[in-house]
Amino acid sequence: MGTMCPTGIFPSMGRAAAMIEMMSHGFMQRALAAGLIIGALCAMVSVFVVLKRLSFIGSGISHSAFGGMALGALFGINPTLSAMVYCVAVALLIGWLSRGGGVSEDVGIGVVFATSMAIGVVALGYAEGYTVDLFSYLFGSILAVSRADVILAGITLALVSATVFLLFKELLAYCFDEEWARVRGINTRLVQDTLLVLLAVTVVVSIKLLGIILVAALLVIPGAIGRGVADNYRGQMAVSIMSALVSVLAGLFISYRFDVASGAAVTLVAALLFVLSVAWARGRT
Amino acid sequence: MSDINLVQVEGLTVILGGRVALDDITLNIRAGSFTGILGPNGAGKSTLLKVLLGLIHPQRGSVLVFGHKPGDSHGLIGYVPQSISGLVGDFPVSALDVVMMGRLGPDKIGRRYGNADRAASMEAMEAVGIEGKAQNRFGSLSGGERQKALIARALCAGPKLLLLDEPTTGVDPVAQDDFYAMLTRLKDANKITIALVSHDVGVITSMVDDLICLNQKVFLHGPPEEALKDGMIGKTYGSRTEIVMHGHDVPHRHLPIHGEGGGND
Repeated sequence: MGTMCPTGIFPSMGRAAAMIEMMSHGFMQRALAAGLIIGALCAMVSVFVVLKRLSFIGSGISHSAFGGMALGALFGINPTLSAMVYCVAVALLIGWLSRGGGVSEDVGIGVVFATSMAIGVVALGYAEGYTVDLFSYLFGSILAVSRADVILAGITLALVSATVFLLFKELLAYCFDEEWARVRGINTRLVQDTLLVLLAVTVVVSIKLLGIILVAALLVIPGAIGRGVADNYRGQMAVSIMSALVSVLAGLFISYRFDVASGAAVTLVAALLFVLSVAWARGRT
Repeated sequence: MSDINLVQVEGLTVILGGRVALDDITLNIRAGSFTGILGPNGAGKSTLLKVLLGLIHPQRGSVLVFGHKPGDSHGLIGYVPQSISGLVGDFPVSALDVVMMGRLGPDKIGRRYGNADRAASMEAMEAVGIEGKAQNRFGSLSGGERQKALIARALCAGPKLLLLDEPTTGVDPVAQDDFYAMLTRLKDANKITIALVSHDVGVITSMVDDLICLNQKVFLHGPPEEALKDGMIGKTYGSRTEIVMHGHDVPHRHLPIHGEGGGND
């Protein structure tokens, strides 16, 4: 579950004092640092998720992380590491299926994600002595973020940013007209696999704060807000990142203040921004 | 036009989804020529172009494009698809962004588009007459303007061979005439070879140097006059057809003879 808020503090204090008090907690500092990094990370990836309509794949990979984490618990491996390996493998499997691996893409994703959840439940059942706050894993918790998680998120942000920067025009062309990219000699299979791996690592580093179930929201909503509001992909990227950062900051504050799961709070703020962006876009046209 | 063959296809067979799409076809495309590829729906016309582009791998036969296997000459080939409108309605790119995708290539991975790419893209947009729409959202362009932007995308890398797959689908008749006139102008100005897949019998027979009538097999490969002489278009379409003529020698369209059913193209 989320964290406990020191009772009775906010009503009797000014906003600034309340913020200072909130930030005096080490767990909150880590949650905010990780949150800002994860917000930028998810926003960047979500632009391509929305452009290429990969939201179901994002959801499939994030749910599969449960199986990866549980297998780590069963075999005594760091759950983040096992989830990373598992999710990257799932991402590559989904990529292969989508290119005609024998079953249709949506069926493949559905089977992989449900099977992974089932593996997770069975593995946790056999993981002797392993006690896990399942609710936190599924919906996120600001208490769960360690210093190592912040560092891992930072490294991931650097790697994902560098990859997106270097491959931006190829990723954009792949999303817009994959056939054309192939005609120009671009290895679209590699571009697709790269995008899916970026998606997988983003999911894994975001899980502790946002939760397995709710991380998918931040893989879609910021990009969708950007697409609705901005006229070009540069604007979409900027709006996507801004809306994700606002969602994370406000969501973490709400999580602290009202003792709700951080993933749920962030998702609700992002959903509110999405509704506002749709209304604004409709008003504009 | 020279006698050098840019494209040499011999005994090409392609099977897609268990169905024979192309059956043992042999043909050439001469350098500098304007070649029309005519045939009914499902005749394998688009499949042939995709084989030449290296997008589909044949089961049998030999295919050489600029003397190399398909896919190895991507820098020399421009391609204009039927339409990509299903995907692009609200895709957040400008017409210039789309045209600049013509400058993509394996050698440019990891680099941003430079001034030379921008200049070549603008030049290609000027060549097709849509330079004034460069900053417009691609999805907001009319059907004809979109197709022109896709031609500019194909042109801006300086191709020697331009493959067009029914490029006037969804374009109104006036814009179609304008489009074909522009194509002829570009061919002469840039000395490129053009292969055009079309349903439009009138346009294709009046504009091209060579005509390929295709319906899984090659029914005719030669000057367009031969197609009119021997009723080859009807044979290609697999039914008795009559050609509706404009004046004495410009066919407009083929129609199934009354009572035989079917549609027209």
